[in-house]
Amino acid sequence: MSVDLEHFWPLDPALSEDYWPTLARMRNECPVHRSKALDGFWVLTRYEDTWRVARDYDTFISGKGVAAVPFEESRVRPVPAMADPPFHRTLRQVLGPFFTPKRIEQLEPFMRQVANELLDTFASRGSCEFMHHFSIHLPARIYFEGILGIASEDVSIVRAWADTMMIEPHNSGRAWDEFGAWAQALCDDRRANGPRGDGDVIDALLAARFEGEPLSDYTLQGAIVNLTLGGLETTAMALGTILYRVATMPEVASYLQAPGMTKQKMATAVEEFLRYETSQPSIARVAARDVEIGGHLIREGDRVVLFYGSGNRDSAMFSRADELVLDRPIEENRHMTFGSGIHRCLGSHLALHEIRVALEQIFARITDIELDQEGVRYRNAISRGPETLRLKFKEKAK
Amino acid sequence: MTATGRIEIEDACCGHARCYEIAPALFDLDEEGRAVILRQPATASELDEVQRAAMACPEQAIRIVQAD
Repeated sequence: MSVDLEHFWPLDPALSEDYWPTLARMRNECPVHRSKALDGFWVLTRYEDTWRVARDYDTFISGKGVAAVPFEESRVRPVPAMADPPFHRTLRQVLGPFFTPKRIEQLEPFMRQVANELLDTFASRGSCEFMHHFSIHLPARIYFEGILGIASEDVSIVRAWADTMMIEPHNSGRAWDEFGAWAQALCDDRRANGPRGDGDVIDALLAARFEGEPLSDYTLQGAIVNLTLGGLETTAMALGTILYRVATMPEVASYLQAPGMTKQKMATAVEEFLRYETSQPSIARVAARDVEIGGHLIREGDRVVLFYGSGNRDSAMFSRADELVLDRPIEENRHMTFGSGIHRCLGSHLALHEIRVALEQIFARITDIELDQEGVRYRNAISRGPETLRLKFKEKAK
Repeated sequence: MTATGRIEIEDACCGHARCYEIAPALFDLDEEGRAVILRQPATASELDEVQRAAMACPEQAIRIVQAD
């Protein structure tokens, strides 16, 4: 079944079935496309267009929605994702210092420990369901314990809210409200007990001021929810996607496990995995004025969906764009997976780091990784990754 | 011949930090993770690193100004 482009929408099951050919067709035939679905919106699929729009934050604003399929209305809004300057600037100044490469590097021993603890639960069994035994837990534990500084006992309830937001964004109002209330409890607890004193994220948010005023409760909730979603969701999907490739592409598995593998080469390979398949493939903006793109008039108020995942396969930007080239030099790999411009993924360094460390630990402990199920279905959601991934493998001798 | 390029970083820097990964002797990061220049390239190989950093920058925020 081919995708009905006239009514294109990101959660169309037909798109999920015929994903890359459909996006290639759009890049070639209608790179600036008007869909009639969801009250009408634009879809940009070429690298150059997504890059330009992502950087033009005056013309294409985030405050009126950033999900490719709009979230149901809630007073809890993910910020800084859904904030515009100057408020956005303030939030990034508060949060940015917690996510620099230097700060993230300090978490490396903890990342390795978490990866090993998860591997301990299944390595000797010779099989696992990778999504639920590893992928989902690794970024969650690192984020909860390493960044937020709280126990990860709430991971499953937070996962349920995140799943609702990703799979049924148009029906997620209650999940936003409940997720917000959970974040509020963290803030209330901190207010009651005073700052923790090691200058963590929650203390920083509570101490932050915008135009002289403290952040509102809804802003605090929105910021914690935004960080938590970012910390849990996309990295989990990316890890699953990568292991799927490892299990089904022998040349990928042997390249990554070759004796000469270094930290640097692994980091380069991770960037290429992220280019090749983007776990958050699209994001939206709203035009703040009439503007032309590729001969089309985008009117003030129009929603524009930027298909970063498609731009990452644009042959005008990348040589061998549809191939997974694990040693693709970083200077030829300006992918859009983390976005571009002021909304560049705040957690990009955390994600790059934890994916690399996870792969290093996986290959240190197990080998001969193969798929142990008939085919792999990607879940049809605004983030993209395998629904389940049953793997079999051999434990390496210690 | 010695290096003849001068690096400049534009406002467009958004903290991808690829320059810092490629040439940590020449680029550092501020508190918020945005690139700052530590010093200018002094050798041909450092100039080469700067050129790679400029190409790798997702924001295309690094300019190399040729000296006269």
